[in-house]
Amino acid sequence: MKYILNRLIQVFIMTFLALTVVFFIVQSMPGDPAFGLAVSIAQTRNMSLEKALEIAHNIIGYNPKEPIILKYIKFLKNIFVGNFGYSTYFKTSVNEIIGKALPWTLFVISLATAFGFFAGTTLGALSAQKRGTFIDTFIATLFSIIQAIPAFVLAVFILFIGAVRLRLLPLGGAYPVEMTPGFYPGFILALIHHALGPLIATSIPQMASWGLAMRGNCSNIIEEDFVRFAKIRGLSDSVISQKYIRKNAILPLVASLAIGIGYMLGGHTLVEVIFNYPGIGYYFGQAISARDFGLLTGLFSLIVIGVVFATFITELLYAIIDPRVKAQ
Amino acid sequence: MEVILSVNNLKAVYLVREGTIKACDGVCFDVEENTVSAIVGESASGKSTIIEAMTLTLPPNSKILEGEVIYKGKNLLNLSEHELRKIRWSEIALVPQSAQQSLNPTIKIIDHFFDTIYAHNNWKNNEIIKKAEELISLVRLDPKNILYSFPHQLSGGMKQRVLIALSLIFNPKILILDEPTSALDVLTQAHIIQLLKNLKKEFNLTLIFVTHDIAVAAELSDKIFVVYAGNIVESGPTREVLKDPKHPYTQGLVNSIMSLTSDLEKIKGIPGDPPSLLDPPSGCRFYPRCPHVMEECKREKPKNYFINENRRVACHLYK
Ligand SMILES: Nc1ncnc2c1ncn2[C@@H]1O[C@H](COP(=O)(O)OP(=O)(O)O)[C@@H](O)[C@H]1O
Ligand code: SF4
Ligand SMILES: [Mg+2]
Repeated sequence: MKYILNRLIQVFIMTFLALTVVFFIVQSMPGDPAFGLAVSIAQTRNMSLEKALEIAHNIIGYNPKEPIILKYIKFLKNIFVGNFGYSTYFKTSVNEIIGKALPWTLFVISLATAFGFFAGTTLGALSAQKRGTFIDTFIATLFSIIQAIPAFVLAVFILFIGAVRLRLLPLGGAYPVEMTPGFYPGFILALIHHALGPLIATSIPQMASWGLAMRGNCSNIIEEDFVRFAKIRGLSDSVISQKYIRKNAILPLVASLAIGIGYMLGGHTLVEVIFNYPGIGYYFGQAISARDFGLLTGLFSLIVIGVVFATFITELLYAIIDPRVKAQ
Repeated sequence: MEVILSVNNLKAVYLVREGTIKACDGVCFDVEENTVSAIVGESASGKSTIIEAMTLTLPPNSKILEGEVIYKGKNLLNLSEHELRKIRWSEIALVPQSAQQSLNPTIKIIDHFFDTIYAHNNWKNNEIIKKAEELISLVRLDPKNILYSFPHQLSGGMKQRVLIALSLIFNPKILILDEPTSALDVLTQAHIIQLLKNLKKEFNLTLIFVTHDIAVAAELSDKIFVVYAGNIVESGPTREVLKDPKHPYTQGLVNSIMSLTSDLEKIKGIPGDPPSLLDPPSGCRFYPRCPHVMEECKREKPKNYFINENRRVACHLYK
């Protein structure tokens, strides 16, 4: 209990530091965060840019003359009460965008992680247990190659083959615009169809990295004395494989699942941009190209908080599931 | 007494990049029923290799070149994996050297009993639990507590006892223990020795154990086998051998034992170092260190010579 409390305090400090870094990075970017909004106001209402800028500043609650330290405190205060700011480009609160986008991102990365983890650990263990055979060489080489390919290259490749050449995948969106969302088979199928591109592009690299990690862990554990002693006691190969080798190899990986999901919040950006998939990453891309500082700061903060908390959950999870760590 | 296990000319090597490590080089010995045999020698002399070769539990990079291990009229080395699995653990149990790392860290002690019993029989769960409780009590541990612990929650001595309890599940005829007392403190060592003495009586066990501590061998064993560089150089009743050693190596050992320590790891009585098993000396492997070395020792490997009907020495002096 005391341990958890200690860790929680650390998590708090880490979040605070990370948010500080986010804030000052975005602050140091050149330009007026309300500029985009002001331009469109000036155009629609036919007023001078200066006047529009003033209105725009009011809308997003930004005062250029306000000292940076006050801005900083305001930012922290807002984040603390769950207000991620205002998007000048989409002219809505960042919270609303997060509410729209986060479910899609979570949908894809959790499915992709589940598949990547399951396939990766199964193949990785198989590879380790067939050390030196063709199967092992094949799996290990394939996974190493996949790991060496940047995620967006793979995504572009899948988009090109799947959507452009074979016309099997849609070119964007989370579902066809003409469909009304609901809980019926046709819609669910359409959801999966639209998520397929990002799903494949995200789960394949995941499979490779979980696979290589599992292969490494298993190869070490196969050499352990307790595996040898299990053989001496006459345990069957399948029991040894499941309960003695895989179980010990997979526990540390299960714990890092949470951290994986945390990091993917950010890492998923390019894949969503490429597939035009309306998740967090897509809006992140929009924020960058539109110089929408409000949205950028808000999404950045969300990702940072996600990663820090995922790390924390990972540690807790690890302590809960692995009896060896529990003791410490 | 009847011979229960007979090892003849057993040769095993490890294959490594530099060549072959000849760690068990033509070992012969008989084990009589209901006795305690001690295999003693310095570390890396090949003690573990001998017992692992005998039970066909050597690591994968090893190879048994020749020999036979006769148990109940059958050569274990010729049995199929299936036949061997029936005998191993239910009739011949082996507790390996690394007691501290031999339990699966992510399952409880009771699960080790389940896994072991399921592998051989189909007992009911409550029978298994009863058996486990009985055995854990027998090795003087508290079953309620220990069975539901994870390995890391136990001390070194407790783990060794758990391994011994596991080895007794099927009332084996022969129990082989590799260094059951090393890595334990002196008091725990004494407890384990006492425990083994009791178990031997209670279960009518034939015990074979490996040690590098002559005092442990003296305390526990009826018969002693002295190993040097992959060979058994001398064997006989423990008391006789220690009182009147015949082989120059055993003589060196026994003479260098002072009352303070009997641990071969700490004794530096014999000048020189044990040879490399990768490229051992020709003839008698002890000749570079032997005070009685003769010309023929360098050429010819000494045979086993009988001093009397119980004692055997592999040395040209006793031709
Ligand atoms: N798996 C292995 N691969 C290569 N060499 C080994 C292996 N196991 C043991 N050896 C070598 O074989 C020799 C005898 O080892 P071992 O039988 O373990 O000795 P002891 O049990 O007397 O300490 C040593 O030189 C050791 O380095
Ligand atoms: S055979 Fe020769 S070298 Fe070997 S122990 Fe006997 S006397 Fe010494
Ligand atoms: Mg050993």
